[in-house]
Amino acid sequence: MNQDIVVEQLYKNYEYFEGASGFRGLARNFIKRDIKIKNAVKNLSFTMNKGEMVGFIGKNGSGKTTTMKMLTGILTPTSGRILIGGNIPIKRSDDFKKKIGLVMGQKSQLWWDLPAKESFDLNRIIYEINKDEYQKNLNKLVEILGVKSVLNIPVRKLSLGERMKLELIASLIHGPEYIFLDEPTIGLDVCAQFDLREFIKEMNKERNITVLITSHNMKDIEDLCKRSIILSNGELVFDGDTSNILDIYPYQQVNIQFEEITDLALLMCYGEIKIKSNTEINIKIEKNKFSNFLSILLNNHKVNNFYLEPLDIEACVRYYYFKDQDEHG
Amino acid sequence: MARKYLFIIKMGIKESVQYRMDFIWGILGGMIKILSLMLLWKTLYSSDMSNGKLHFTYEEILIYTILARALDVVIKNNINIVLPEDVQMGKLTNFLIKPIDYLGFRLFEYIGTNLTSILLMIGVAVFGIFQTKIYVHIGYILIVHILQFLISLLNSLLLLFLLYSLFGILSFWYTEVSALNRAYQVFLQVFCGGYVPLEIYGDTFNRIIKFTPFIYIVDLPLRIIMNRCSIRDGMIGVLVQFSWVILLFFLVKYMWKKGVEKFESVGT
Repeated sequence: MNQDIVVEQLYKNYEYFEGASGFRGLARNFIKRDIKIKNAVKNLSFTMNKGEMVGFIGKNGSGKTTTMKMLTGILTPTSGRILIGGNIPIKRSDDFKKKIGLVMGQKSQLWWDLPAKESFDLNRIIYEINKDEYQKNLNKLVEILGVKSVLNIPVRKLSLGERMKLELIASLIHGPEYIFLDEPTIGLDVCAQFDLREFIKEMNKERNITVLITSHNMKDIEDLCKRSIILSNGELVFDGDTSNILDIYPYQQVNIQFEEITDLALLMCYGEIKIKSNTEINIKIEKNKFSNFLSILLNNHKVNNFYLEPLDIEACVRYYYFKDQDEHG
Repeated sequence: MARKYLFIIKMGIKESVQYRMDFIWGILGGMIKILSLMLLWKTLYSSDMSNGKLHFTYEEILIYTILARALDVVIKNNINIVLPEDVQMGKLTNFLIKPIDYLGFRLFEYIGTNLTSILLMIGVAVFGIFQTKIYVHIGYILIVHILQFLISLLNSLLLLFLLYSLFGILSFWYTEVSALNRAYQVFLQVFCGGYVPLEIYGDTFNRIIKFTPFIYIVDLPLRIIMNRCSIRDGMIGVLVQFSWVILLFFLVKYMWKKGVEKFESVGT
């Protein structure tokens, strides 16, 4: 297999001080600090193929961003091995840096007081992109994200959404082979989110770029990534088809319309019932009790119509987080 | 390579245009500093207090004051403030993923944003000195002096940048460095000869300070251009100054490498 990104037994520990509160605590901290260690990433291993798009899922503080920073050579791993297209990120060779693009929804690289076009031009010089290629990339990005009209306005005068789009252009203008997107749709309206996703898909198809994306917006992941990795407390807990995440979820939501007002006593023991109207309910049933439930329902009630609600990936992931929390006490 | 940095200077100039008022206030502040120092010297010299203690005539000390302040504008930088900020706010992240050297970027950006002040200050210093014909008091200046001065000026710009960088790099280990920062800045200003000639501090001080890089920042270039040292001494001075630049360059490079390993890229 053409394994393009290899991560093996990756660990990252942070040292931190726990600040005691109050004046006494302050005085104590001043003299002696209790150094604690946080394991942000623990024994993480995975590989990615050239041209693959993978979603990185996990709640806040699960180690997604830390991992991404190690993959891009910003952070030094405590131990473990990373190879990206044959490069070791932490060596920070210019060759490697030209191949990667990192989009962080919360970081700004644009010059605040100048129009974004100036920052793009600077990137052209820094990345040594030839003029024609640069112009072609720029035109395309500007068109897709619809920001032509704001290119020549100082960045500080733009709205958050406009700025985000321009940040994206700045991160992608050099045509990287590996794109790391950390919360790329923060601050974007639904249309822009859609455009961005389409753009990533197109780039992936056209240039076979490899994409790793973290997002709290599950729509991004569902839409872009066939494969997902779920991290919890710095550990890998799921690595597989995004659609398989749905299988973990043990419940099924069913919507039922009765012909007449019905006594629900028999159904109550199967799960949580939400009453939508006199004759319509929604019930959350454990998947393994479903067939049993169905026979009770159809034998004892006059059902007009029923349908299974499509599984919501967000609910599944939420379930995954909580399940994990329970296991960890 | 050179193209990258020229472009950064250009961006810096464009950015500085956005803040014209900053520029005007900066110049005004500088003028007030020079005027107050000049008044101080006038009082001191008229009261005969300095007789025998300083080897400067009144005119020479005025030239010194103007040149020292002008030099300060030309060689100063703000990496000691910007780097800790970039580390603390995690902004350094943006630079680490780009094929560019962070310290070089910041140096040229600063030169760009301050180029107008630098040129203006040089203009004012040259104009002031020629207009008042004050230069007749320091004797003939040879082309060699001017050449030596220009080289020492470039060296001192680098030297100060490296010394400030060293300080900035500390922020990888110590998150709160701003108070220390101010002290360090004043310390450098005073012990470089930025306000008054180093002679004032006495012989013992001068014997010790000779072995530090501080003496090569303001004192040396001014000694050269004010014809207060022989051509040979000037040459040796410039060579020692350059050695300090090389030494500090490698020290900064080493510390930077160690520091970046510690970098936690906070803020996201």
